[in-house]
Amino acid sequence: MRDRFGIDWSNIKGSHFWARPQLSRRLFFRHCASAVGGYFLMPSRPLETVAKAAVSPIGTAKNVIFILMAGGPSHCDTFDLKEGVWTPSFMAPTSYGDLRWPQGIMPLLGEQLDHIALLRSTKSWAAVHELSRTWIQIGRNPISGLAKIAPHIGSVVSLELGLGRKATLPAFVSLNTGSGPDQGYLTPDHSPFYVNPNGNGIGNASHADGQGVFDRRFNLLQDIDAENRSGASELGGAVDEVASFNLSARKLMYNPDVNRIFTFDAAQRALYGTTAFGNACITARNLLRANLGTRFIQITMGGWDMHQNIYTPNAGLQNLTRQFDSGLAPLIADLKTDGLLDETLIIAMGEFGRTTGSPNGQAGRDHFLQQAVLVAGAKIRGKRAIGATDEAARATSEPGWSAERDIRVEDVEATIYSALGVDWTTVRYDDPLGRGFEYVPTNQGVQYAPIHELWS
Amino acid sequence: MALAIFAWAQEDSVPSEQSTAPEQGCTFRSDPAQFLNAQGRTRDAVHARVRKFAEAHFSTVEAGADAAPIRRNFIDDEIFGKLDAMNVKPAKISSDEEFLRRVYLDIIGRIPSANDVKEFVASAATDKRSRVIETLITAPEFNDKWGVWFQDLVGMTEIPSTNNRRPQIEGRNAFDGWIREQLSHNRPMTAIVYDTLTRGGNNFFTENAPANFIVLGSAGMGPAQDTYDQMLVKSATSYLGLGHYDCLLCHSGRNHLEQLTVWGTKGTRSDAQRMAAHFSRVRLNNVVPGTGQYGHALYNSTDVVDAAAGTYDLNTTFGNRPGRTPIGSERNLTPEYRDGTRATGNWRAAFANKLINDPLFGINFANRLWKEFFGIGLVDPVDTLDPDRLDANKPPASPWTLQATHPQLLIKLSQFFVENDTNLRELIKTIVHSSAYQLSSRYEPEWKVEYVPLFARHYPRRMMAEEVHDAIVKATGVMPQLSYQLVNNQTIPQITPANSRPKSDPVAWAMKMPDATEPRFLNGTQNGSVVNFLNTFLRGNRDTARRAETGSILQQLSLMNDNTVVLPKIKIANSPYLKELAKITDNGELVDDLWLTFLSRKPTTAERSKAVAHFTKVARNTAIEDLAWVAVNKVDFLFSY
Repeated sequence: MRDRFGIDWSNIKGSHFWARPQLSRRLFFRHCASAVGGYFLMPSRPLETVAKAAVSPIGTAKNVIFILMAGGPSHCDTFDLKEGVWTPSFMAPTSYGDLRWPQGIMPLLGEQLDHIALLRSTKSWAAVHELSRTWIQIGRNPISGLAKIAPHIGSVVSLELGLGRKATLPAFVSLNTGSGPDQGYLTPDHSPFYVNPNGNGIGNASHADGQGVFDRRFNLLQDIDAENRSGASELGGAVDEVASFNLSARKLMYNPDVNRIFTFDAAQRALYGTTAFGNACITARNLLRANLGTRFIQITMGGWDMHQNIYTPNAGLQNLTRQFDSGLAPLIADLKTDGLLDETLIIAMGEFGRTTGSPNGQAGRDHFLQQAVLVAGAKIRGKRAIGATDEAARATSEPGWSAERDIRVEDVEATIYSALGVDWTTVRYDDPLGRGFEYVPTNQGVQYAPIHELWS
Repeated sequence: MALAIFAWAQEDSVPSEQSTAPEQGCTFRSDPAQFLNAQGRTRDAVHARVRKFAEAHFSTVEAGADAAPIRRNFIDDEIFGKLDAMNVKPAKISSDEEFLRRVYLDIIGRIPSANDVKEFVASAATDKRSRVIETLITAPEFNDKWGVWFQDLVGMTEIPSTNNRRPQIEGRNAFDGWIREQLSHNRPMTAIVYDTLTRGGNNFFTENAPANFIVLGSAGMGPAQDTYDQMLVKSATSYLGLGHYDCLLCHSGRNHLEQLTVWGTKGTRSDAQRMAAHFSRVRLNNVVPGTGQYGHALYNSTDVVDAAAGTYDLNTTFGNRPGRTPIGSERNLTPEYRDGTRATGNWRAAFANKLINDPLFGINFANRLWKEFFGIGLVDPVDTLDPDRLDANKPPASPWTLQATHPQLLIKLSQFFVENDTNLRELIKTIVHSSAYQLSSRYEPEWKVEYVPLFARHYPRRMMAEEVHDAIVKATGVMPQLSYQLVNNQTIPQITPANSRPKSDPVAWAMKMPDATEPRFLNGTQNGSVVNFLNTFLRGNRDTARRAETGSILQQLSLMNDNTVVLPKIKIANSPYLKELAKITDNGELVDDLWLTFLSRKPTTAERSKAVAHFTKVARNTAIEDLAWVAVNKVDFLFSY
């Protein structure tokens, strides 16, 4: 029988266009039977991807830790330090080779600079919080037509590197993130798994009345609901999907492997600064150590939007950089000791930078497009900056890489994919708009590209 | 149950006296008894005739095992006509229990009570389904569910991520109150849409509430033309289903849209910009209260104003869309609707008048409403309507096909909507009356993928996040106190503790919340647990994350373990329902009632015996709480099927 697009579905097994399916056949039919999500039901073109160019991804990394510094950190006080009469003495600017670093507020990271490179010629597209924050997570303009369906970068990584249902934990875990871009048009397997780690396990992963009560109830449920959970419910695929998620959820509960990741005591928390950010860093390390399927970890750390009183001692910048420093430095060190740093790409960036030179009328700094990004791990060459800015960090004076222009978030996106061995020029044609979904968008002729100078 | 079909012209069963007028001179005063008898007989006869008509056209008695479903209206003619032509069997009509739960959820977003189910199943009235539909259409909860639907459609939220000017909390709340009120007054969709397109003034004021739609069109980080474009994109996509304007405002269709749309491929960027030009006199002015930044009631509000002059100028070099440059000598575009009509007078009013009379207006809403009840649009995705591929009398050139699965049905549904004054309730009523909607979701013998666009069965949908929450509330009778915030954070002095921020009067239902950031308050204190629960069920945020029906591990963890929304409500000590339930001494009857309350049906034999057996294993009250937990976690609890 042919559908209205003339596609003959009666002979699917032998058709060549299943050779490189991007949806597993099982998942596809599940969606058909469930009629959940209209566009899956009436495919109009073969499911294949087409590489746009012959590229060689770096491929050193298996994992990504993406630290979203929400609010937009002041770049001229952190990763692109520029001193002036306003610089408080507690910043203690120090030179490490050619690198000027605020030793006073980030001493621990100062000791890790061998593993760290700074992208100083980076420029944001928009000085608006929500817009830019979304932009850096989906790697494209949220106002663009394609943004409606665009997945989070982590979801693409899950798609490319995830192990699917075989893994105990989802490939994309998002820590301390309230809400944000999800998996877009990709299947729900690639949705971010939100956790706010406090060292006491995953929220909702234990039963308030105790495991004994839970086990009794769970067994009763599987027994009474058996007709619906046999994997071939009359009601269709959506029901089977729920049953499958339920079993995966059960696997996370009272699971010593999972608990080891999300349970850590006060002493451990203290090693990472006893902060929400520190807890997330511990969790990230544990996730990678456990190797239970997680590949992309986002850590969201808010509070960087310092329009006022940025240099107040023990408040403002000093407070936040202390948390950042005491969380990220031991994370890098521990990953190094575990032998995991070489296969983990760490990126820390905000949605934009902040005004430079003298602070504003409220002793703070306002939104500013120029910014700087911290990169670590994945065998990059550390202890240097790529690109340089003018004397105040107002604008790029030297791009420092082959594209010879400002680094944009799309370039960072391409760098993530390249580090993971993913072809960043991939275009998928399984998107519901039928337009083709580019992993890294093109923009009026500008070709975004990975910053391979990080590795040379 | 026997089939009940009555032909329209069965006058012979009407009592013959009916044709006899009361005798000359027979009035109430001359002979009361005869007069009343004659009146009574007339009334009876008319009533009998009307009832027969209703039964023939609106009642849904379950058909015999293999009988074809009764064709009740034009929807059935089209759906079953095509199924017959393709030689595909439709599913059977849904059982009473399936129908009741489904229609309650689909129309008002709530599950029925156990009594509702029992009465409905027991009733022998041949028009019981149509009566239930009538009750639901007129229920106050209708305004909540469809208020949420409309605000999903336009993307109403406090702070959209792409915006420069925002509704803020006050504007969002005003709009939310306004749309629910419009729906309660049964106002035509054309009137509602017209207001959203044409109103102005300060967006915080309740009398200007619809103007918040225009505020949603504000595009950040670009020139004013980006905002005019965004306003057009929102209007055309939400109200006409013409999502391709978003593409055309960056580039013409040629060499871009050939795979997607016949109409769009012919479209030019300047055509699209002439549509956007209808908004080129809108000014969204930041209100800067004289007293300074914080603390003023109108801080962060927007004045929506129509300037006396202005055009869509082709002179931009930055922003969210490619640079706009003159076309020959044309530097300043004036508005022209897509049918060539030049705007006169107030441009927004001109645009609104054209839009509500655009044939795509009816088609768009008909299609979207179809999707709400049938799971897939007749055209899907619903914002990709292609005007050149909708008319069965003017099919597109090969290899293009007509866009809708049932082209004539889409047009008829649209015509019905327009002829009925674009009344949402009338459209929903006719959809839900059809046998096509009332088919079961179970199919025998073997379901095939090709049947999907034929609507040969009903497609289950997972309940909306709000429906899941509200179902647990309704079933357990544990009413939370949910409140939403009333003023934006910068209107209140920064030192105010969060808990003392002005908040709405508490309600128990998530479907009453104005956007996805609410409820921020639970039982009077700031608390994000309910929002977390709703987010887990993919409520979306009307902005960067769309509402979704898919499942997830986190949803399952929530249902099994959430210690705010779930676990406290299934304790007998807290739940009025479970307290009453515990008084039923017979365990089997208790299980029946529990199933009816949570799942809107009686247990199957297997379910019942397993549930009853559980009472032998634990204390009675423990068994009741265990079974309530099981009911919430059963797969079918989550679905409207």
